[in-house]
Amino acid sequence: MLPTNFDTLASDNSDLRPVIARLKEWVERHADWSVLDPRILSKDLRDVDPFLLTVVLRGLVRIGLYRRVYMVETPSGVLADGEYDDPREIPDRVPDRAYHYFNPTETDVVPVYKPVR
Amino acid sequence: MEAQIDAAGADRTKLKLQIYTELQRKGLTEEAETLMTFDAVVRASMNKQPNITYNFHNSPIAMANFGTQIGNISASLTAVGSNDQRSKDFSNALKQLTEAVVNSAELTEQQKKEALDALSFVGKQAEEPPEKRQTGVLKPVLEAIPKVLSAGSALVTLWHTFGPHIMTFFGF
Repeated sequence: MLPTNFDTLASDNSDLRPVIARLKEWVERHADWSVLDPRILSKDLRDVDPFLLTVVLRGLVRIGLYRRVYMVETPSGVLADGEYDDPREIPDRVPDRAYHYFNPTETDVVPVYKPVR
Repeated sequence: MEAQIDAAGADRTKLKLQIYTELQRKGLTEEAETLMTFDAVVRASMNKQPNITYNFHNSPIAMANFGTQIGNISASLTAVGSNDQRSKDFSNALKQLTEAVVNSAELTEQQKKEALDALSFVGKQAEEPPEKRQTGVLKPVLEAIPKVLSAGSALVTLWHTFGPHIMTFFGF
C-alpha cells in the first residue's frame, strides 16, 4: 500500500502543490502498487515538469515517507528482482526474471521509491 | 566531463554512474540522488511511446486495475513489432485479446487478472529469441488460456479467431 499523506510536503513547499496534488492523485489510483517508479510516473504524468517531479520524489524521501532503492532494468524493459541501496553496489552481471545474466550498464539503473515501513 | 556528456548515447548509464560516483565523492549526495531520478524521469519521457491504442470501455479503471499487465503487454507488442506478417498477426491477436478481456462483462476481476497475466507472459516469451523461450512453460500456458476465457462465450469465439495466430507465431 503506497502512502499518500503528502500534506507536510505540500505545506512546506507551496510552489510544488500542483505537482504534489497530481502525484497524490496518481498514487491513490495505484494504491496497491509496491513502489513509485519514476519512469512510469514520467509517462503517466506527461504534463508535469520532469524536474519538479524529481524534486517532489526527493521530497518524499526527505520527509521520511518513502525511501529510495536502486533496481536494474532488464533488456526487455521490466525491473529485475534485486534492490540496492547504492548503485555502486550493483554487480557487473545481474539476472533477469528468466535467469539470463546481462550487464546492467547496457540497460539502465533506475531509482525507485518504496514506502518506509 | 562535458565532452563525455555530449557523446553519451549508448554509454549513458555508464556515464551517469560515473557522475554519481564523482558527486558522492565530493559529498554532494543529494545532487547525486537528484541526478539519478531526474535521468530516469527524462529518459522515460524521451523514449518513443509504443504506438498502441487500446479501446477500453473505461480506460482509467482498466489502467488502475490492470496497469501492470497492460503495460507489460504494450512493451511486448512494441518489442515484437510488425515487420513481417507473422509478427503483425501475433501483435494484433494479443492486442485484440487484451482488449476483449479487459472489456469483458462476463469475466470476474480475478479471471481477468489471470487471463492478462497469461497474455503478459505470452508477450514476454514472444520478445525472446526462439532458442531462449521457455517452451515447456509456454505451451501449457497457451493451452490454459481458452480455459480461463471459457467464462465468457464471446472470448472463446475470439480465441478461436486469434489463438491460431499466437500458436503459429511460436511454431505450435
